[in-house]
Amino acid sequence: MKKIVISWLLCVLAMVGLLAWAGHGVLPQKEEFGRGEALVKADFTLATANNKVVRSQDLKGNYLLVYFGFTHCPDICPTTLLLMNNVLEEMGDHAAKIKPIFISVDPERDTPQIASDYASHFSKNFLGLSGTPEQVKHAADSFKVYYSKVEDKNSALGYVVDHSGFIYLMDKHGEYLAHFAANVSDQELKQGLEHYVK
Amino acid sequence: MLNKFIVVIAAALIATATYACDIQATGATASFASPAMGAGYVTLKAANDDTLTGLKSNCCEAVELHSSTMENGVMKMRKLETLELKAGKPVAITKAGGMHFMFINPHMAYKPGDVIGINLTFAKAGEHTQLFTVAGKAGKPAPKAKGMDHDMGHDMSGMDHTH
Repeated sequence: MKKIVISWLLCVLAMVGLLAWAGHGVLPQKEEFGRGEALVKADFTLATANNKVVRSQDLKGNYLLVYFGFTHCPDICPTTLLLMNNVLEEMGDHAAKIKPIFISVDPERDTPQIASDYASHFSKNFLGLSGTPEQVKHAADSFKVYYSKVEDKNSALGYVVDHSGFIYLMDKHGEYLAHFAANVSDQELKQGLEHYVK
Repeated sequence: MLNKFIVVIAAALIATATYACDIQATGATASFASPAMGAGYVTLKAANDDTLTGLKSNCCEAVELHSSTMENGVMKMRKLETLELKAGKPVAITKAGGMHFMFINPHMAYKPGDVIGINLTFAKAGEHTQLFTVAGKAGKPAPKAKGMDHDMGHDMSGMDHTH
């Protein structure tokens, strides 16, 4: 009986060793696939004016220039959207392949109509999107965008939304190409877009 | 007796003049990216150490002072209850300074060239009415056709002291 137990133990140890060895060989390869940038994707189902549904796959064939923000942000968000629009205007025909998109991270206040009206304030080409809290979360997750509602009872706003401040450039298939800090200069953004958009 | 009276009057006039010059404001502009929200920018300078303690206006549901910061790629906006001003040192309530006034739920749709009055209350200098000229969208200069001067460096401090 003892021999059988020892044999089983040896077997189990051998299996554990084999798995550990196999894991050692496999895991580093997985890490190579796990580089952050490749994980950023445009994957969303949101809505725009008149509650028209817009899916990321509907936009395939366009380069996407995407910024997440909220309409009750009077300072940095409009500055960034204006910068995006100014650069696209400067690029002229070259920018025709690029679709600028604003996605609200404040679905409670920003209906699809409000997000659309806000975005179109900067340019008619700007697509403003919002959706249900779940849809917005899914969209933000696909871009690896962080956002968080922060209550402020002393403010007439009631709450603000902290959010990642990057501008994302996605290729014609909704795959990540590059991102830019919100304080990027118009020259840097223009050079970046001209480099990636063929 | 008459001399004493004149001295008192002169002292009162000097005190008033000093009081009126306690706060200097330059480059007051506003921009409205949406009908629900606007931002105001100005650079303030106080003659003496002072504190901005309150904001009032009929233009909107509320006017607040906010900071905008970027921490590890995350944008954060927070309401500031007060703002310290050191004597003679300009404080930029501007994009570069990371601050703005926030015009929440304006009572009307403001257009480039419109002027908005805000009452700023200071702990020592008292009330100071500041006019903000509405620029184009998100800070674009307003069209000159409106007949107003919209230079960012335009000093409006002489226009509107009410004490």
